[in-house]
Amino acid sequence: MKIVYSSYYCWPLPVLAAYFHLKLVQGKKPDFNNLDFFSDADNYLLFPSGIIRKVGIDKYGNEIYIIGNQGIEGVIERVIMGFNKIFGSKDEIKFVNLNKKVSIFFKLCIYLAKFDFFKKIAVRLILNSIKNDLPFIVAQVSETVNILNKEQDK
Amino acid sequence: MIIVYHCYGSAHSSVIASALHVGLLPTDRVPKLKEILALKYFDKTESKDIGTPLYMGNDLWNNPVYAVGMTYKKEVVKRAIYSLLDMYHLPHDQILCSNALSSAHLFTKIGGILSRRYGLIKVGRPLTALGMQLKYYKFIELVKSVQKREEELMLNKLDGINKVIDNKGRISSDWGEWSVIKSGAGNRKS
Repeated sequence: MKIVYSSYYCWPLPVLAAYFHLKLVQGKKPDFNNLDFFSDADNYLLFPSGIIRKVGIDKYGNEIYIIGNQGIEGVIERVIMGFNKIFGSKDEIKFVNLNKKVSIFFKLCIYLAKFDFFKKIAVRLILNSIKNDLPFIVAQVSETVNILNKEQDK
Repeated sequence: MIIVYHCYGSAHSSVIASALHVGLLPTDRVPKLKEILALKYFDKTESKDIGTPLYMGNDLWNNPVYAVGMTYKKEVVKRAIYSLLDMYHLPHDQILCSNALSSAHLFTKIGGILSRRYGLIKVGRPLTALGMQLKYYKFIELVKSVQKREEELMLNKLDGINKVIDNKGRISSDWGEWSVIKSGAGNRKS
């Protein structure tokens, strides 16, 4: 199965969810600053939405992906599911939407990041702000993993 | 190869263009309102279905043709489709995308909003069809350009395999299913 974590922007929430899923980060105060996608965050901050990117494979062999959906999560999901079927793939794709409302603060940071001078500050501000989102992400990932565990047991 | 016509909601422009492409609508005259309204997917797609590829049929090259709604974020949706191709290690020329929305008349856009968004089908649906009639030749132009591009790509593909050109200029491959006539976009010899 392919599991796609999606959000308005593909970085940082889906990446973080993928890392929790893969158990690359754990606990209430995880240190993710040294991990890929975070240590060189300014490369991913403005990564275009719509591109499906592989992060890793979990213990059941499920492939974990991330995607930015620009607020059209349903459309992206139906397009990908539809074309997956057209291409004749038997792989099931499961979408996990982390679409919390994107704050103006977050959008402002993304805007600032477009200017080289502000990029590092913007990344720092975003990384500080996502600490509040951790419980939500952990809950979403736990729910997904539980469903997968049940399917695996069957 | 897969042919994709896209617009905002896969209810009007992309349906007309793809219907033209597969021969469900005439290319030598403007169809009657009745003919447009009789199309299976014309002015039918609900908001919750936008994004689902609608199969319209196979064209003369036996390529499947789809209408897809991409809302106002077509670049994001196209990136998703192409990255799915990457995921399966398929070449990007496997899909030929064309924007049908640019050919739409203002009546179609207004009618579409009335019918799809506000549920005023009795007013909106005929208005969209009227808009289609008024810009019908634009759609024919669009479809012809796509068919021309498709022909180029298909002939390029044929270059990679053993092909036979007979004395009438017809090209056929040893695949059988790809027997095509060189002149005339996509005229297929079975």
